Amino acid sequence: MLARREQELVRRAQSRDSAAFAELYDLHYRRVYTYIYYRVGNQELAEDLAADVFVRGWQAIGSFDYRGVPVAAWLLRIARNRVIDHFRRSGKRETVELEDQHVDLAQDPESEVETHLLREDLMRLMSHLTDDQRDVIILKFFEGMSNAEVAAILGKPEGAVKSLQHRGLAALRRHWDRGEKG
Amino acid sequence: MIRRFRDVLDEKLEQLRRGQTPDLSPYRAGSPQGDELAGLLELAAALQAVPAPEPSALAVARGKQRLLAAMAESEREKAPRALGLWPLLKPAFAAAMAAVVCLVLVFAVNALGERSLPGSAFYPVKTIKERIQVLVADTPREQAAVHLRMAKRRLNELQRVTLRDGAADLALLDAMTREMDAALEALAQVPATQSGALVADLASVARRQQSTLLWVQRHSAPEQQAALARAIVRAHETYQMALAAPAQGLKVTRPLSAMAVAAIVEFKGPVLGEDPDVLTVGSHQVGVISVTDMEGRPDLGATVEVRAARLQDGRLVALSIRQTAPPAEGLWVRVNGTITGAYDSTWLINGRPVVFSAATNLVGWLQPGAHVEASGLLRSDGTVLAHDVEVEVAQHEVNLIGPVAERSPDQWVVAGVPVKVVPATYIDETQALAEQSQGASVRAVRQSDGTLVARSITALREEPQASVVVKDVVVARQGDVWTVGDWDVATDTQTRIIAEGDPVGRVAEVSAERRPDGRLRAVRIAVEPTARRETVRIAFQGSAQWVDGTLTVAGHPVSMGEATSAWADDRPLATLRPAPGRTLAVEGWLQPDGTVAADNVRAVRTGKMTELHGTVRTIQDGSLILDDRTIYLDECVEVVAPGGPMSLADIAPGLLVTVMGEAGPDDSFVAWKVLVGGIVPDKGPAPKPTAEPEPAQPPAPTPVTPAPSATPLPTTPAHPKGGHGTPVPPTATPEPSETPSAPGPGGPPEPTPPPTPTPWPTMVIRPKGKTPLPVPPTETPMPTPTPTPTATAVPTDTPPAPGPGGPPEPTPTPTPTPTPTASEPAPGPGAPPEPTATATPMPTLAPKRPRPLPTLQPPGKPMPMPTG
Repeated sequence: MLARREQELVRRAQSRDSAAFAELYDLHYRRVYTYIYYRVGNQELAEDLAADVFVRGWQAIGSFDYRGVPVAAWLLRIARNRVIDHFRRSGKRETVELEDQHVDLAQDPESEVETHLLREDLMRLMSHLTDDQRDVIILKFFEGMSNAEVAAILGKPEGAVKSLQHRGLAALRRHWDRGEKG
Repeated sequence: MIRRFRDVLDEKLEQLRRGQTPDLSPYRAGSPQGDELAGLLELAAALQAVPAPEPSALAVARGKQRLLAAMAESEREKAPRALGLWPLLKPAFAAAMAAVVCLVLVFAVNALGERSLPGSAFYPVKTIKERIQVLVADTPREQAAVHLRMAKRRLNELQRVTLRDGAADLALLDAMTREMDAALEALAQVPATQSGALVADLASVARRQQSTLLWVQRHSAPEQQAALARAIVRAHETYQMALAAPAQGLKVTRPLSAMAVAAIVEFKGPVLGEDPDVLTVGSHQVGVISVTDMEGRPDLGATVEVRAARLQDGRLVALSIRQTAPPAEGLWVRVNGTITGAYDSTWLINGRPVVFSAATNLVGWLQPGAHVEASGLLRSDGTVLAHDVEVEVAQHEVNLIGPVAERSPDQWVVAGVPVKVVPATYIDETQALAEQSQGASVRAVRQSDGTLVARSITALREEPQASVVVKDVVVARQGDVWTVGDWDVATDTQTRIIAEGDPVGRVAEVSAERRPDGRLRAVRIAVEPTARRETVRIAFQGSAQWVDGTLTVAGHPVSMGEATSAWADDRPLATLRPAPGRTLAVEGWLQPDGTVAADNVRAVRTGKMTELHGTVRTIQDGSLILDDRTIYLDECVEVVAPGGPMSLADIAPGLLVTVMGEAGPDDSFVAWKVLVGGIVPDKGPAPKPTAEPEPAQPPAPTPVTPAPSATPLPTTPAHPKGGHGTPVPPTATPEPSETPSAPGPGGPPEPTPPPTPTPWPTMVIRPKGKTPLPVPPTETPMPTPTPTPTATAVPTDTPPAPGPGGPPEPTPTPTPTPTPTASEPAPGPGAPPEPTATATPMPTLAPKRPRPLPTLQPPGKPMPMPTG
């Protein structure tokens, strides 16, 4: 049902119906944001880049073939490229200096702060992974995607996704056991 | 078929994702693969449990706006093609082709310029392009949008340059500020109906500026901190303006930018002080202004996180305050504000319940409407157990005496003047029930809106002549008419005016009579000299003594001048030379030489009233000898005779009189009232003073002066209106009579008691102005009550120990009971509780007369004295 609705939206968006694409934005913004957040580790940058992804999506919607991958996977592929592009442009390594981030205390009650710290720990751990391993972990565990979807986004066979998943988890566990949260 | 570990893991992870509990098959627990699988599954479960990060609602909306704008723009770009421009271009095809190379170059330069930073060869391309964009924007809306876009670019550049150079580029910071100001200026011209999206964008940019600039600040050199702090403050103000815009339009207000901001600081701590405009957080005092972002006022004692601007003079002004933990009890806190109500032993200060105990140090008199500063312990129920309370002296006092024209629960009209009655107003019905009274004496405070709020009302049985005493600022003086506060007062040759220089703008006390036509005629006007700022304001209470011609109160030298207001209870006196032993409440300024220049001296009743009957043997200035007992007299004494008004001068030896007064601990006796009974024809031996209790019959009404303010006797405590006050069982016990001690072998006592050195009791002195709070004690912060020296304690009805029905406050250490006079009769079985032991507790006594005493300072404790 949802897939049919989404398919209809894509069709309308491809005929330049901006309201249809705005609806796709509402459906998928959080997912795109989550992926980018775990890649860049900065809320505001993630918000900006996520908005960018949709602008690019609108420009590229004409070339989207629904039979290939779902919209979410397609958007996440754009997001992945956008993140890579961002780091390339800013000439920075793809790690985030988390201690430099400003935690907007004004927005965070106590539990939010705890969650924030947990995410910080997590992202520090993930900084030990390769880009592909990190993508697989994010897409599988935080985005809840299937191996096929992840494979479509990364442009890799499913077997490679499983291997990346195994190696990624094993590396995380190694660093976790060493107490390397920071 | 042997399955690969990655496949097994993937299968188990899929089970986990579906909410199933995966087993370790085909591996065994304890085997290397089994252990690894278990460990990885555990980690995967932990990863799945991490909550997803949430983008801010504003960011979601902003991103959508951006998308819609991009979509609209792309559609516009396509429109010319639809119009068929291509055929038009066809004739110039060759030329266009030739230009393609140039265009490619231009686009390349353009693209490089877009990403360039200051210092790059392409950066000027970027700025030129931006200038063109500003020039072509011809409506305020477009201009606002362009400037906002530029401000965003400057911010991004600033962040990238800071990363690149390890220091902020202040020129970029200035450019960003200019763009934001230009955007605001343009936005102010956009009609509210069209500016919604732009204001949202403004809020978003300003918020991002704040967080990014805070990050930049942490990476910048110390000399750049002030400039960055100012920019953060501006961004904060802009954000607040944008938030307020939907409700009140976009109004440019920059109260913080007008201050000399030196840095931005962030700290966390408990709220220890509540003032209207200042919060005390930990050891910091931080101002709260219109642009401070907080969700309601934080609770006293709660933990808050503060982001504040530190000004160059060291003051802190809050940008945002967030409560992060509920109030913790046991903190030492301070409350500053106006008394808004009272019940039992609790007073509401700005709505905050403040509980008084016998250990509370009280300076001044608690009355509704008065401004007070209290400090004490915060308790779990949100109340504050007061340790120190200081009452600011009101400058807008009004005392009214006169007939009562109207009476309702909310308002009395006394002497033709309406006075508002509030729950904390104390109504004294000891002389007459309010419903049966003809007149009243009212003490009131003028509020900022001009209304009078009654602090206390004493219902009088008789209808007195209308008089008004006003203490307020002299607004104008035109001829014989003075305008004092809201009152016009006429003066004439009979008016006694005490003023030096121009009285306008200074505080004056005016005693006036109200004529039948409603106008006021001044009897006395005393203009206060300009405030002696170098001195310390004090208020205290104690016994008057004369030492080498100098008046001392509680052992403290007190000077009374023409500007000093003197009162016998609530009755204004033209002059006062207090009798030795008279208890006085003094308010005034502590001078550098240690004397107190009194503004206000009030004779108060503190102990039990005692009656003495006898024949006047001799009378001289300041005392009379009744049979064999010396009785001290002064202007506070009322003389009542059946035949008409009398004064002290009319009392002659041989008169049979009843003297009502107070016995001091050293057997002295100070009179309050003399009832003339008649002349004893036989001037033989004096009749024995009676030891019989006098009937509770009150004295005959005074024809001249109504007794405006007799003190409620300890045995018949009055209940404040509406059940306020500590319930003390009413009793009909007549006043106990004095059993005079037999004259000693040396004859009557000396008229003047030997000047015994008296330590300074009842003094609590504090420099005027705000003093920083002590850092709260971490444990057992209960204040130790100041011990009260019993030997020199002035008898008071302020009880050291709460009586039945008294406040539930456990006092940490019971204050010693003032020593009762030896001559007082012991209570018999079934007798009502001894007044000194059951008198009402301090808070309920506060509005009554006599006033509560401040707690005594420990003996030998050096008194703080100004050195200047």
